Amino acid sequence: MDALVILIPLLPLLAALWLTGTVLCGLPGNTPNNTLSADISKGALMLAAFLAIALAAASLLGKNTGSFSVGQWLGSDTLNIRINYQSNGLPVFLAALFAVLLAMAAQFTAGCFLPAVGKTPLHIGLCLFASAILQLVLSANAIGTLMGWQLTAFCALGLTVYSHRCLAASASGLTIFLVQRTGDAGFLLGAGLTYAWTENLNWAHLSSQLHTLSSGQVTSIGLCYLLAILAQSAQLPFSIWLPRTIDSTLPANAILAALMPHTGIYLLLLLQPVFEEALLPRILLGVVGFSTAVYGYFTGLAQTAARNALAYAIAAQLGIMCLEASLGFWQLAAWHLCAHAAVRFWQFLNLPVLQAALDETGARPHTSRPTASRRLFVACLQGFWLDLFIGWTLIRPIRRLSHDLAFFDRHIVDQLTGNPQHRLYLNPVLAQPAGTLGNSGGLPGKLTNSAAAVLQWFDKQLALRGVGKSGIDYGRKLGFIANKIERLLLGPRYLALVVFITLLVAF
Amino acid sequence: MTAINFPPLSLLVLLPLVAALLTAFSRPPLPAKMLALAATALELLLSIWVLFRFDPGNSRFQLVEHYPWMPDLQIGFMFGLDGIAVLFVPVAALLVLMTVLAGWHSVQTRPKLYYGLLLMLESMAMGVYLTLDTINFLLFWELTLPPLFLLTGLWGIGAWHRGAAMKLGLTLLAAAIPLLFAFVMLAANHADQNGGDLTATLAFTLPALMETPVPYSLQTQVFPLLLLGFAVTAPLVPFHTWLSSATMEAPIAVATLLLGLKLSVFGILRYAMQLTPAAAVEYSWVLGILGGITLIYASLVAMQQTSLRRMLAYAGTGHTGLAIIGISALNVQGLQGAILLLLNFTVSASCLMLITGFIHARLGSSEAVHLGGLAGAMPRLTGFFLLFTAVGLGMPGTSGFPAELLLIFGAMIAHPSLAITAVAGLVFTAAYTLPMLRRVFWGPARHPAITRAQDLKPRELAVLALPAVLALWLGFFPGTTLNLTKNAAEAWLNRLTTPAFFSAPGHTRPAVGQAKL
Repeated sequence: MDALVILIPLLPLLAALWLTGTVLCGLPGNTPNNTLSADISKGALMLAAFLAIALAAASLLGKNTGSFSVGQWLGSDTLNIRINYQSNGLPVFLAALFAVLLAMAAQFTAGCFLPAVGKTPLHIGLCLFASAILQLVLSANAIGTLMGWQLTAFCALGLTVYSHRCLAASASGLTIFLVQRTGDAGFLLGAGLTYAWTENLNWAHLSSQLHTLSSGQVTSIGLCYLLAILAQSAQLPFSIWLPRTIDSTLPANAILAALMPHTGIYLLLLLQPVFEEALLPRILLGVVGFSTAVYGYFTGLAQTAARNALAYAIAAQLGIMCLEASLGFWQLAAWHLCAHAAVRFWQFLNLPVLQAALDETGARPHTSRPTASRRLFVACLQGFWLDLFIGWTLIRPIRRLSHDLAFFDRHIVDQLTGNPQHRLYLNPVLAQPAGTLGNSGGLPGKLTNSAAAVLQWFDKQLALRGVGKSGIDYGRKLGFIANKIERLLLGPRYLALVVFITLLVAF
Repeated sequence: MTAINFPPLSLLVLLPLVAALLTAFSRPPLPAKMLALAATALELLLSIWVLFRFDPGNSRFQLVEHYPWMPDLQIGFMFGLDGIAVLFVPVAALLVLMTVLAGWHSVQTRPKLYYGLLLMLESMAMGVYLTLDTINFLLFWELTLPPLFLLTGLWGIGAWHRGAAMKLGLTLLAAAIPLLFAFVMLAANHADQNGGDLTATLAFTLPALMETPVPYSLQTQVFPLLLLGFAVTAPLVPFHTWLSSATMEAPIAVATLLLGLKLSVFGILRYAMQLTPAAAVEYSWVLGILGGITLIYASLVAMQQTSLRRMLAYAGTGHTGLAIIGISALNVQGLQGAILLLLNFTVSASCLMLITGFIHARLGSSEAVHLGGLAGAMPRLTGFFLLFTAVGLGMPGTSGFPAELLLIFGAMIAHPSLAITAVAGLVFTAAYTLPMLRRVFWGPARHPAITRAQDLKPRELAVLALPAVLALWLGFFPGTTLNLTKNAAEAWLNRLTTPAFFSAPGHTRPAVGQAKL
């Protein structure tokens, strides 16, 4: 039964590749009314769900060995990355849960009304996301997990900007992807340190080798992975991406808000041995988790839109899961993760029904707690100015640095090395008179011009004014210098150099 | 070395050159572009044949050919292939074929000269990759200049193309000077070491120079010269501005080739590191710092660009910096990552530049302010742009992912600070690529012409389809390329650790690729 595991992420991937081919090559299946793409997507995801359930059942019955290796994916020196999957325990059950939820999303997509660009791109995104998240969950090594990790972020971008005519959605997609990219950086560094110190990237190997690492090394690995976990599970200060998922269309937002952040907690559970050994990352995890829970709770209370409230509620619950893990309640965090993902996904899919009910009964009034204090209420409405904080501390300095460097590049470096536009006239025809191939510019150009001026003076003084007494004196001095140079040039290296310069000039 | 009777490598150099000469006599119904297409397609097939003839288990030079030219000075045409060069050749051939096909209708004036120069450029680029003689290397290197200069100066699409051509020509010429000095110093060292008549004991061939011990003091003089020459043309900061100028002003074919043909980084790998191994190890930190600065600087400046073409030029500079970081790691992972990254970037950046050319041909601009909302009118073009952007970002499933992974792991083993720089560069890459993607492709169409713009034509689709398949194939099966470079990479690294090349008394060889954590 272990071999089944490979088909679970592979089937949605093949469906995504097939549908992408139809779009790029203009094959049938790309018309808005064509149900072929929906059938392919649904079929692949339902089959993957069925296989995942079968694998989970086999795991419960003790029919699986625990892992399955497809073969080597990449090998370089001591780096040997194999495509390994886990076929027992939490990964399998979580994969079954996610596969079922994604099959429901595919069914929902097939039935919903999506005008504009047709459903095929959405089906592609859905299948690719399913493949990525199932790969992430089932992989037995850090690189397989990283593949799923990065691909889910890319799919999040695609699913958010699916309706590409909405600029707000594309801005949200960018924010989501860039935050995830920051998390990727942490994951990459964590995996790199793991390889540098243990020469193996299997999760099981890392757990078994922890005793060989110093506490500083374990802490470093833990801190790097912590960055990835916090970014993916929308913990402070990375919480800004989660509310932005609601800009995407249904069911994409259900997938992104209800499933994707839980993969961060899943990574935390995978790294349980590391966090048990590393005190500093664990304390940080607890503090950030608690802070996010408080932040999500208060900010969520101030929201009037159901989708926004739900997004903040998810962030708060994820914070609680981090706190649970930090306090050592790993089993509780695992159960919390599975139950929470299912409930939130269901809530998101039912949002239209909920919205209709709210339209009939009227919006929920603000609860008394945040409104009791005006300042607290303003802070909650503003999301505790988290966006502004990120903007001031991270985005703005980078933008200013980028601006300064671009100015430096254009006005200093480009001028020094010669700007083709340095004879800048308003009329470009005047700047490049016919018959010339541009003008020399920049520091090299100015040096060349100066050298030419000196030689011109020399030529004028000696060649054009005739050979007078001073000319003969100059000639003697020049002859003396030339003799000196000749003696130098008689050295074998310089002789060879001159010979070959001459030869090359002749070419 | 293994020798064969059939000379495929010299044919790889000569075929485009002969075709370039034949374009002068081309007449309808076989116009110059048909001749160019046939020659470049044949060149690609030949390069693929060479790839299959190559034995990856052998780390030495293969398919070696040697033709004397100036026997008194020991100068001759020597061609050969090792695991480092073997992948660059078919990729370069593919690149030129793509540019010929992509610009099928774009050359309206002097087509014979245009295609003749393009073929000459291909011939010289092949010469750079295949030659095993330093003087020939310089010869081929310098002879890439006339076609680049004339193509930019005569067919440039920017307002300042003549100035850009001049800048490009002068920069590349100036870069050859330190290289010439360095090669002559190495040849003279060979004469010194062999102690005979100067002209009789000079050597310019790479195998002979690699077998000659070079005193450490000389290595410390030669390595900076080689590094300077290659850094100017790679380009590394602060010598990079010629690339952005040329990319903005040159025709799309030349801009694509300038971005895609990584001749200088190949030169660093083959000449700078191999001929002066002790200095290369000693000053690997300089390489690393140069690479890091280039990566971060170019990425940050790219964020401010408003033109797709200029942004791609800075992306090219940034990726060169990333590859240099991999090389400076001085381990197999870093080197293989750098080679894979260069090949990956050749494919992805070239295709992005070609797509930019398609946009420019339709809408007359590649400035973001003139574009916007292209996804609605051109979904297939947008799809390909997104795909190649994903390749450039190193997304899993594309060739960029294994390349960046290897490179970062290699850097992590050698210098963790370099790995952190590389990872920061990857984040910045997303930060400048995606906002440009948003401005150009997403949102409502800003101009009526955009809504009427035609999506990819079948010819353009064919141009992009093959590299797309290649990028995905290498992403799923990176072992196909890594197996080809494995032995050569190990031999390359082994050379850096061979004590015979550290002949200075009392000189302690620095650590190579060791974890310093």
